[in-house]
Amino acid sequence: MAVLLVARGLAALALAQASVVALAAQDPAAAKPPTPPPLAAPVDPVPVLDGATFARHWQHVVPSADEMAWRVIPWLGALAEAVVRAHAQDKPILLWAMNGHPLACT
Amino acid sequence: MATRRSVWSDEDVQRAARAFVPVADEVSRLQRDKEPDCVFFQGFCELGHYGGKTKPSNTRQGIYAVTPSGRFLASCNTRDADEVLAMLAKAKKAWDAMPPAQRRAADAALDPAAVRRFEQLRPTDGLVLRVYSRDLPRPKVTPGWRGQAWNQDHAWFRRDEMLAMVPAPEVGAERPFPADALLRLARVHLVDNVRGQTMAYGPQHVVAHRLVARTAALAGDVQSILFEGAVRIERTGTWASRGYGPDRPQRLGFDAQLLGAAKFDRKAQRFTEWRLLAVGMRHGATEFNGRQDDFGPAPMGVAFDLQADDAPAVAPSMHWAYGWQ
Repeated sequence: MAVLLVARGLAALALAQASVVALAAQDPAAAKPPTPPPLAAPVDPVPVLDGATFARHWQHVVPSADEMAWRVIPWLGALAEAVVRAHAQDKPILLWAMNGHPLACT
Repeated sequence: MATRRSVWSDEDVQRAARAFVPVADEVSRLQRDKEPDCVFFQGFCELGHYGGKTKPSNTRQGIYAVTPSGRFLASCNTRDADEVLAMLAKAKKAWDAMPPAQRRAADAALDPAAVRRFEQLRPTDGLVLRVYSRDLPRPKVTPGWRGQAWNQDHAWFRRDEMLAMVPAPEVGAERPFPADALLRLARVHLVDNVRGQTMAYGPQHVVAHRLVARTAALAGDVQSILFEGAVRIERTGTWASRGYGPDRPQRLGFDAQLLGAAKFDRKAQRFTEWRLLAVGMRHGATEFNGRQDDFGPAPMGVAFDLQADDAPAVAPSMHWAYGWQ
C-alpha cells in the first residue's frame, strides 16, 4: 500500500513539473511583471506649497459655501436612523443611495 | 457627485425634501449584506428604477422614497432636478393617499443599535477630519463637470494616535507624526478621488513619507503646532483605467508636499483647529476615478480639517484599508 502511495506521489510530481515546463514554453513572458507605461513629462506647472502659497491653495481646494449648498438638506448618514425618525415623525423617507457614501466619497 | 450641485442644491428640491426624512447611505453594503438595514433596503430596491438589472453592473444606486415600514413609493437615478422633483411629488401623492396603518407599523421597522457598521468605531475621543480633494488650476481647463470636480471623505485617528501627534509644550520642540498613522493617511487619503472613487494604496507603494509636528507657540492651555513634510507614492500593476474597461499595465501615484497648522487644547486634550494640505503632482487612472482621458502628471490638492462633533457619523470611504476591528 505504501509503495503504491509513493508511486502515485512521484507520478503526480512528474506531471506537475511537466505542466510547469509546458506553460513556460507556451508563454515565457507570463512570469515577468507587466511593464507600466513611462511617466509622461508634466505639461502643467508643478505647484509650490509654502507659507506664501498655503492660503491660496487651501481656498481653492476646500469647497465654497455655494458648493456646499446641498448640505442645506439635513441629511442623516444611516438608513436605520432615518427609519426610526420617519416612524416618529410620520413622514416618508427620502433615501439617496450611491456606490460610495454620498456624505463621504462617491 | 455632480448630483450634489445639479439636484440637491436646487431650492425647489430642497423645499420638496422637507416633507421627507432625508438620508444618504452607501448602496453596495445595503444591497449586499444581511444586516437589518440591508434587508430593509433589499425589500424595496428591486421595485425601483434598476430592479433586475445586472449589466454593466448590478448596482441599485439612486434616489428612493419609501414609507417607514419599507413600502416603496417611487424612485429614480438622475442628475436632473426636475426629474427628482417629479419623483418626490409622485411619492408624496402616494404617501398622502395611503391609509395611516399602511404608512408605518406599530413599531419602527429597525433598531439602529442592532445594525453593525464601521461608523460604530468612530473615534469620538480621537481626531475626526474632513478630507477634500480637487485639481489645482491648470492652463488648459477641462470642459464640463470634470473640470469643476471635487470630492470629500473622512479621516479618522484614534486617541493614542492623536496624542502622539503633539510635540512637547516647548517652542521649537519637534515630533515625527506617528508612523502608522502617517502611512495610513498616505495610503488611504492621499489618493486621486477628485472625479470618483479609486483604490487605496498598499504600504509598499508609499515610497517616502515624512511629516514633522513642531510647537510654534504656547498661550495658556493652547499649543500652536505646525506640520511640514512630504509624501511620494508610486504603484505599478495591471488594472482597468476606465469603467468596465480591460486590464492594462498602469502606473499610479502622487508626489506631494505637506504643510499645516493646528491648535491643541492641553487641558481638554483635544485639537480645536487642524489644517493640513497636501499639494503636488498626481498621475495615472483607476477604473472609476474618471481619469481615463487625463493621466497627468497634473497638479492636485488634498485638504484636511476638523469635522464638527455633531456632523453625521460617516466612515472613511475605504475604511477596510484601516484594518480596525
